[in-house]
Amino acid sequence: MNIIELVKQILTDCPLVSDLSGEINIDYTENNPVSFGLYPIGDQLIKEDILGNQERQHNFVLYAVFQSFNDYDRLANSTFLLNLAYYLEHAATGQEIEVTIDNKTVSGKLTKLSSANGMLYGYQDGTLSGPVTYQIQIYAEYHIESEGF
Amino acid sequence: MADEIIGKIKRKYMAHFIDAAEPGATTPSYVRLGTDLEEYNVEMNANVETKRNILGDSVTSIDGYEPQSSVEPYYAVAGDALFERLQKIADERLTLDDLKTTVVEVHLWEEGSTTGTFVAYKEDAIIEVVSYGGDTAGYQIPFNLHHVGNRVKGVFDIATKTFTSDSEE
Repeated sequence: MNIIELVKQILTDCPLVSDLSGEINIDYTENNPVSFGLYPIGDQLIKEDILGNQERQHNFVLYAVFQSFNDYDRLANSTFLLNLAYYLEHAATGQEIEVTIDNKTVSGKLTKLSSANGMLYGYQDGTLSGPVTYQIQIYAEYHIESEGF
Repeated sequence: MADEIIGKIKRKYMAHFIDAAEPGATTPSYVRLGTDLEEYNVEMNANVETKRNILGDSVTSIDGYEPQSSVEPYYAVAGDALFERLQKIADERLTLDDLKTTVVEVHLWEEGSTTGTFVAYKEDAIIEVVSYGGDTAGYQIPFNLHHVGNRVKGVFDIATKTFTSDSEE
């Protein structure tokens, strides 16, 4: 399981998400509420120690299509993002991942999940009363072991 | 070692081990340094003396070294032998001979005479715990290592983590 699969799995298993929708799509959201789409937006090396072990970060944007008839809906939507942010802070428990580089597979583990910029992203039909899309950026920090020595 | 090292040597091939066993233990317990360290330097601290003679020429000489290294950050890992040694030093405010250890520098690019061994240098050292605590990233016990001499050349078996001096071979 790579880091993208792991984060998708964590979100799928999150009760906040599973209570609303059974699945998380990758790079895709449906037009009708409720729909979730996880969009990976890149990986970066944070630091490397002298043994060759790496701390890396993979960035995602989670888009969520919700209904937005009134303030009650919109408050619930924003509260969902707030609660998801709290949930993610405690969701990294050293889950194992595999990283394949040049046909060499090394092991790693998830060290931290955090999020930012949870907010209303856009309207579907040019009106706030139709389906609306919210976004939250998710950062997954993980550690991979140096191969050999 | 599977691959022959050619050209520029990666940092990980210069390996640094420290004996985490208590002073007086019958067998050393070598632990590799480097986890979480983005940089690790052994500062040579050469004793440099410069004199100017009556002809006006300056003469520079080096008559010794006081090598020292700093391990920072060092994140405590429960059950790790080195952590337990460092914690004991901090807890019991140990001094003098209780701080003695040995360090081994292993040239992983330079194979020894037998398979799995590499050229290495062992030296006596003193552990100086600098502080303990740290931020929310984890419990830290940064420490300095003062190399105090008795440097011996030998080979290090990377699998068993044992050092054998050339005179013992």
